[in-house]
Amino acid sequence: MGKKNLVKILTCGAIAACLVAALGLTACGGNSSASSSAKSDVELQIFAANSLSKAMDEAQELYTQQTGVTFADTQYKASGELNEMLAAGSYADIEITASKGTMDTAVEKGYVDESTRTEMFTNELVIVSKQGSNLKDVTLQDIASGTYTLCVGDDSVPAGNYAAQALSTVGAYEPPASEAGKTGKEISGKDGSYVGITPILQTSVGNVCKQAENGDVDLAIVYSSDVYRFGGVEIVGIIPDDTHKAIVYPGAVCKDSKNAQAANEFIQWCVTDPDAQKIFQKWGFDLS
Amino acid sequence: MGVSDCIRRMGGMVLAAMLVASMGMPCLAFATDDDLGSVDEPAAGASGAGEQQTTNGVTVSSEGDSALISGCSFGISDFYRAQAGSNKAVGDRYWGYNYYIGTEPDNLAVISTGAYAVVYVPKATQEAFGFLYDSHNAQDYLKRYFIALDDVNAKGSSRLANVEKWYFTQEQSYEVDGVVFNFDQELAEGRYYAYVIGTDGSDVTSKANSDRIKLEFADFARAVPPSDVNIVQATTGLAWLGNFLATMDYSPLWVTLRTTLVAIIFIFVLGLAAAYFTMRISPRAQSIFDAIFTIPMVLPPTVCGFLLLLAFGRSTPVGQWFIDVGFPLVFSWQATVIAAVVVAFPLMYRSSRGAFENLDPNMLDAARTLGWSNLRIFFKLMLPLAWSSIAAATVLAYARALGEFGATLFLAGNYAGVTRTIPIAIYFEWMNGNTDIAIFWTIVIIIFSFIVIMFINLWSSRTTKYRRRQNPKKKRDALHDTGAPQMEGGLESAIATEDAGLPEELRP
Repeated sequence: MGKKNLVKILTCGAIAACLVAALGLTACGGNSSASSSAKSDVELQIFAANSLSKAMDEAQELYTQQTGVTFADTQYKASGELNEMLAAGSYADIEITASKGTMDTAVEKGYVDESTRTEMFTNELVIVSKQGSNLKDVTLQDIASGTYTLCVGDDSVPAGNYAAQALSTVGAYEPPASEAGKTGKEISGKDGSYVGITPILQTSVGNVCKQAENGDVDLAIVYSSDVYRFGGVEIVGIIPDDTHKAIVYPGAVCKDSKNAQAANEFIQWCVTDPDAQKIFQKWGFDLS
Repeated sequence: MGVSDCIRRMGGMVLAAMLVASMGMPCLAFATDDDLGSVDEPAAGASGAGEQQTTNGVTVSSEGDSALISGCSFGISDFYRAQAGSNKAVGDRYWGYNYYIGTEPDNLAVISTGAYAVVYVPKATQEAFGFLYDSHNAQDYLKRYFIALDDVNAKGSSRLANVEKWYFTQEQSYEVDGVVFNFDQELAEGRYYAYVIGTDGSDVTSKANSDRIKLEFADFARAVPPSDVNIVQATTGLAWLGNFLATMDYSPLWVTLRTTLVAIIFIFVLGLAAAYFTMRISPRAQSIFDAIFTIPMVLPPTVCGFLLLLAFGRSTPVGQWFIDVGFPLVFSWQATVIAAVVVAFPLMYRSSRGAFENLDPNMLDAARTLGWSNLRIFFKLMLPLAWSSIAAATVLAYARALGEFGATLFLAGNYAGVTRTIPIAIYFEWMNGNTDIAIFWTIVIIIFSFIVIMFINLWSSRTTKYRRRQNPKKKRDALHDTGAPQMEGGLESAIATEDAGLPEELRP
């Protein structure tokens, strides 16, 4: 009696498993046929700063339509992490970081070809909070006073470095001994420590913004483009741009790239083509 | 276990699935609202026209690109909000801070500085729809259109609704306090721009400029006959779900299944081999090897991933060799398999070793006196007798491999369609703002894990029943001591203790 039922149950389970597997197989079939229909022999692998995610996806889609060049799954990570991935042996054709410092590292370590380095975009730093928080005109001093909980990027996140530079001007961040006595633009915003506040550190600027959106923290320091990227947060304060280094996104072709020519063409297209400009201005990136 | 038990279990399963589904649905519905960027103040003059978003008498399409006011002689389409522009030269000349609009002339445009907004109404538009840009009525319509559309597209940044001072113009160049706003400018052939520059040709966004202004954003749109406005209604409920499932990228499921199915073969063979091997060496060596085989289970997966990366990365001879032979181990789909094998292997190893140890040694000795080879003993005696535990261990290891995250992320990264497994997809979809997709995968994983655990439970209850029938009075004391081989009893007791190899919590 029980045994028969058991067999039935097991059969049900097996059928369910088969269904799941079939779903996976058909989905995969769909994918592979879709990718093979877009005929092109060049596929570019891009490593881009996390903040670029939505804008770059849209730009790539347009570029594929215009030229047939396709793109492998673009990695949107903190710029420091992109360098680590290149160091660990992952392949990329183009690297776009969110600060000059991280690109300098990539040049130094020989990950990218310096002659192709192009300053692509600029951005702004803002203070955001969860939408509807009713905060207004929050300043760096307000943050330094410790009234609010704060989330910023960690050392590998350029947005976190910029935030640290800005906070150092109000005494809320102490640079490491090698940069003692300096503040703002003159420090790297790495390896120091926060004074009087204990911000939550996140591994990408996207995560930083998410923490504010979820209301886990009162405030987060992110790029103005992140506000449009996610929604759900609102700008409650502007950070004066003379308190931190200029926010510039350099892009360069990687040394190991097998498609260096095509990669360079894409970088140039991003900064010169009007249709590309339309996409980047929609997502809040000034062309540099 | 009787029929009623089975029915109860089935009922429980269905209930749990419904619970999971009901938990998921509101979240999904909520996520749609979010995606569509619901308007802040829908109360003001809302006409309550069904599902449509109506603000201040303006009905806005769910895609946020077109709008209609009933009774107005024109509607709006192709709305586009530029959060930023460019300070670069167009062609070879510096034009000031510019926005690219498109390939068509005669666009309605609004450029906002936060303090004031300049609205440009092309003469052609006024003629086509029979209104004058300086009439109060037309300005009111334009303001309502732009504020409603801008609110949908602003997403938390500066809103046009907060701008107090408005200038309307039909001239292509319009000056406000030493700053010239230029509209509908064909700066390159067939390319129309709007740009802002000082009266003296200076850069108004530069800090050095005394007339410096902050250009916050710009809105562009086209006026069209009301009949041409395409108001797309927001899809809700089942229609939305259908659309969601149809446009979903299922590659993480495929990657996960491929990874776990390949990994489980390795785990099965290696786990059994390791269990058999440790049983046949001296107790001291046994404890050392046991520690080595078990340690991936207690180490954080990130440690496993990090060590694997150090071992197989490009900077090591091993990793370099694999790259040279065209089989790179890091950031490839092989890496997901390696990570899954390393992390799930100890479960297989421990469970099967427990099962082997609980076999009656007398029986194995008896087989040896009959002249059976070790190989034959393993395949004909040990495997069949311990099969129940081994099968359960395989399922458990499979489930662990399915949920692997830390080591996979370290070693394999996150490449869609290649190494993005479901657990990694959940994290990254959330991070990229696609909460609904993250919720979908979460539900899939919960259901999948639930089925796996149910399967183990049903499986072990079957073996329990078998034991009860064979040996009803047998005490279960021996079960609590999985380590020590059981000396008394014959074949029956060996079978009876089959499921002793299962981890504590999974025993019936």
